[in-house]
Amino acid sequence: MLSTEGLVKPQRAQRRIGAARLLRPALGLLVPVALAVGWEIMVRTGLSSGRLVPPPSVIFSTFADLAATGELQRHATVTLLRVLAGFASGVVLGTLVGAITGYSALSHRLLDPSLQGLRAIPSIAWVPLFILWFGIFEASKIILIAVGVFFPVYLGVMGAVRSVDRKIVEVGRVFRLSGSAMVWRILLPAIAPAYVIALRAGLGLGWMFVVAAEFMGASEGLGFLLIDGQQLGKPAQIVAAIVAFALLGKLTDWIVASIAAPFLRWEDAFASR
Amino acid sequence: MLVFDHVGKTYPNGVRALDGVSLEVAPGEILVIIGGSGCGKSTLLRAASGLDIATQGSVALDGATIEAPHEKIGLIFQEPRLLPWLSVADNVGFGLSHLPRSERAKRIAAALERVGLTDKAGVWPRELSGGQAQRVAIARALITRPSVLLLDEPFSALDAFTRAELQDHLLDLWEEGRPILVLVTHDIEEALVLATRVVVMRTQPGRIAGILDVPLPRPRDRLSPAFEEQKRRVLRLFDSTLLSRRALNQPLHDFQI
Repeated sequence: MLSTEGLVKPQRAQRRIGAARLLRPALGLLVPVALAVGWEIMVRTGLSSGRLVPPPSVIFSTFADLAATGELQRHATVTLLRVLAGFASGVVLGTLVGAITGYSALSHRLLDPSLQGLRAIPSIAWVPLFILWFGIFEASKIILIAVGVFFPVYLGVMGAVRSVDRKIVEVGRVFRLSGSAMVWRILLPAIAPAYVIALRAGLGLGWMFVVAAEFMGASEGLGFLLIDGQQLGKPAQIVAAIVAFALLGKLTDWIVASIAAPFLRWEDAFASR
Repeated sequence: MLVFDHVGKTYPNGVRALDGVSLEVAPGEILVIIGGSGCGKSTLLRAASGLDIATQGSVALDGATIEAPHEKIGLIFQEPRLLPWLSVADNVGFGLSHLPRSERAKRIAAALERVGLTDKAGVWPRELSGGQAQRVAIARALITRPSVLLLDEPFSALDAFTRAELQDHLLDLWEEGRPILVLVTHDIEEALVLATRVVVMRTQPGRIAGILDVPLPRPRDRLSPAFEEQKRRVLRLFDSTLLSRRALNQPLHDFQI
């Protein structure tokens, strides 16, 4: 993003290394692991049948079986591709429209009220209309996901551009930056922290909406595995699909955060200490 | 030659900030504009920078009217206004993006050395003290070799020691290329340390109350009787509404405008 600069980069601060660094994340695992082990013991000892709430060992073996047959990978890939397509289009549109309404007061007055009105509609409410308009195949699914991603990205970009410090913009004016240089060298870096948060919020909604999209009639995808598990009475398959969602959601969020991190090292933030 | 020709500014709400200010600043001059809050001194400076446009009259550099920020005019604000996402070195080189990388690096290194911050090249702006940050801002403004440098209360947010240090430092930098300096301040001592001429302004609307040549030799001794005498001359130019006669009879270093 800052390709024209970068002659000298500040040194990364030295990280503290020690037992505390390893123990702190481990502490967060304590509760879920305790619950899982507890439930496993309950089922093994016969205190519960575990028929509707399968124990971790059954979920794990279901997960392993699905992975071994390649089913899991096939469904996960389909879902992942839908999320990526919807996320990409939602981000591009949200960024463009957000930048325009953030930058120009006229287009803000013109477009923002309508967009805020549309934002107030629960996106799932669009499903019947999207099916009528775009059919029941990929197009309607990807558009639904894109709509879900669009709004947080739009809101984040628009708000961030509008709140860029006028004093910093004046520095750009004193150095007689052109319109595009102003965007590239002042506005984009200035909104980067807010933009990354908007992207991550958008991605989270993308994962939410892919489930809704796959509920509306899919023969493939993790959402299909959920519905299939419900109809065939296989709770372990449902939980396995949920685990797959959790892993993929966390992984994609981590990827976005990692790509963004080098651009945000300058932040003088509370959390960076 | 920087020429202010009957410069006036009326805000859309009808408030007259500035009324008919005419001034000529010659090359090599340090003009200090001094006055209380609301006397339009910053408005005058912003009109010269091209960031704001005067509603009456005009400002011209070497005959060309200034209607937008000008290549030959640098501006330093009260706050350093460094870009937090760029290293100190990249902040200093911000105005040189049209130059090739190696040439830019050379100029940045030279500029940082002149302001004594070579060892800070690689740090983020947030890691600098207030005085260091303002020095970086000065280096950033001077690196494009402007023929006019405008400074809007550049040292007023700094402590007294840092302020005196940076005033001397600014004079050293000015000696190298002798650009026109136009500096706005509310500090009489600062005005007299720096200025070849002092413009005293009064408020509502902002007008020139008087212009004084400062005949003191450099480097100037802030404690000398001649310096005290110049302070008296400046003070006499202020409105009697601002300073009572009683105050004028007291030792002068006890108050600032």
